[in-house]
Amino acid sequence: MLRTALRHVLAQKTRLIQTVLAVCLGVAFISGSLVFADSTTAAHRAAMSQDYADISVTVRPKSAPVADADERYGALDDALVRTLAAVPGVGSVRPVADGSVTLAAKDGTPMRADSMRGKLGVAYAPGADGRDSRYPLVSGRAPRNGGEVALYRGTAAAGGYSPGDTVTLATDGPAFRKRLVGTVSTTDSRVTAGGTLAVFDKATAQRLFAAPGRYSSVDLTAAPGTGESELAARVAAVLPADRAEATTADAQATQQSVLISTVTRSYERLPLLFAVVSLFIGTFLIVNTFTLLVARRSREIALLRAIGATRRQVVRSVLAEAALVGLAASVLGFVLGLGVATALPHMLDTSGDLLPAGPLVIGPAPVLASLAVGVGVTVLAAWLPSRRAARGSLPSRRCARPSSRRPRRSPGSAAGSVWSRSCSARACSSR
Amino acid sequence: MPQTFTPAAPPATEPAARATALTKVYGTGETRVTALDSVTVEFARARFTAVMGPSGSGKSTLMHCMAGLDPVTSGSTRIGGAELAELKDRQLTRLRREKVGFVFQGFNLLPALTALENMTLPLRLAGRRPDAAWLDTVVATVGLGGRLAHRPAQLSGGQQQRVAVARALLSRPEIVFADEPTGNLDSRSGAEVLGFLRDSVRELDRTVVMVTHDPVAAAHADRVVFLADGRLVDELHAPTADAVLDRMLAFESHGR
Repeated sequence: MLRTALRHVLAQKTRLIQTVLAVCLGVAFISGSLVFADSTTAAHRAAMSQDYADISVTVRPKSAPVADADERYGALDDALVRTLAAVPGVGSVRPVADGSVTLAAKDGTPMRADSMRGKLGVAYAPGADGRDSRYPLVSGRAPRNGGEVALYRGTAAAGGYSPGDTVTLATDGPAFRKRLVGTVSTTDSRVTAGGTLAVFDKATAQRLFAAPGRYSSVDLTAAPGTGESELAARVAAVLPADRAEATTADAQATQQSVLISTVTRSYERLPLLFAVVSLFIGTFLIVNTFTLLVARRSREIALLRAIGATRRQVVRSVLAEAALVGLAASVLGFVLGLGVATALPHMLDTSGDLLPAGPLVIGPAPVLASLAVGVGVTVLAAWLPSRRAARGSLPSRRCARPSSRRPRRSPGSAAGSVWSRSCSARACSSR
Repeated sequence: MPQTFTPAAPPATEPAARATALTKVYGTGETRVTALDSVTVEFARARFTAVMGPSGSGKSTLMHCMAGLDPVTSGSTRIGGAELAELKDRQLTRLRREKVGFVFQGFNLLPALTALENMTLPLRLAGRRPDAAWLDTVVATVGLGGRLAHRPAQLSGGQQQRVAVARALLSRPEIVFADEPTGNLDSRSGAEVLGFLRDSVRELDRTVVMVTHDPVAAAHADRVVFLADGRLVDELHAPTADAVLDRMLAFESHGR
């Protein structure tokens, strides 16, 4: 029966094209969006693990609602940094003063006005060699006082700034202006994904994002041989328990993952909507195509029934045909979907969030989902026509026959009209 | 395969198929047409019977009812002892597959399958393998040895009908129904096909019922029954074409 179905499929190639196209498109959107989501999540994970590569534990002020910044960041001062550095197992300590700052482009329009995230302001924290390894200078020099700022090179390019220009910025207070003295690069995924980055001198950053002389957080690296959670426990012991807390990088990464997957899911929504629409339309096309195919083959099906095919065998042969068509369409659709997955990031660029680059990740789930949906929809849609084929075959068989006969010699004969009348009567009653 | 109907080897006197007071009505009210009006007829084993009659006389309907393709309105139809009216669709399907062979006028073969695949299709539908020796016998009888791998489109009309005859014989059916099997053939191919039908009766002990309106075709049969206006009106044993034609002409003149 399968071989018969295969031969029929091959014989009906042109008629099946629209069915294949519809299923193919639907599957392409499904596989495309699933592969895209997987790839994006994987790329985000990779970028994030890089962000947290040199961090084991982060100390933050306790997130109790405190009105005053002095109060809130009060615990995170240079004295605490020295205490933390003395904790056994701490490799390096990096006090951080960062927060959100909105930049205006050179023409005055705010950059990333539509996004809450990825508008980063940080302190330049030179190490022993006088440079900050997190923000290597690309051109110019680091900001030295409250009148100067450095920008991520991508931010500077996007805003139309070149060194020496005056940059307009704002945190939650009134806007202020600073002179651009240099550009830096970074691997921070929030920035490389299309965010902006402004680098201030330490005192300015502290004033903007914490309080004078205070930090917004302190990043610690574990010394070799010390585990993250072990270090977090030791650090927690020296912290003022009600005012600061220690979080492992793992926990932070997990938190970020949850956030990111929420974002990626929203990217999936549009293509999945396309998929639903095209499969919905596809269902009608499939029903139509198979109704047509079945009708064209009514004589063949009648013959099959006459020589001993059961209804179930007829249904199965039609469904086998549908499954073959669905399978072919799904495979095609999946390949097309890889193209969709590649193209999607470019289509979604308008939102302002650049998606991290990464290889296409093809997991088993998108493959299985695509095949299941493609074959499933086709077979389900062909089910009604197949039932009709098996049921209607015996009576309709004889109605189909007179047309295949040679014209009768006496057209006005009673027999001819009896024949057609009896057929149309049965056609009506069988409905 | 378990059998749900029991044609427990009917006695030798039992005909291969029998209709008793068979009536078939199509439609209701104004469109009501009585295609068969209380027809009683028997088709004996290992005999070649022709059913003749003018167009609309009900001969095709008789065949379809007796083969279980069309339900009857009243009366009884039996094949090898099985009462068709008592069978459910699946049992009827199985009966057609195992006890009945069909040869139709025009559309007989699945175009996608080869001649051999078409012949063995009823057996494959039943999930059985053809008996190799019997297959050889049947193929030799219908003379299709070299053409088994051909598709129907590559065969002549006569060859296609011979494939259909072979298919009908291959499952060793109780009875073979042939509906105008030579209707679309030229006289030479038609004579060939009729020859094979007759050979299958004489040499292979099969039972064949053939519907035709061609006196020459009917002359190949052992017996001819005549239908007119849905009634059995006459029969003829060991017919000749002339004898059949004479009867036909007689009905025509009576009927007018």
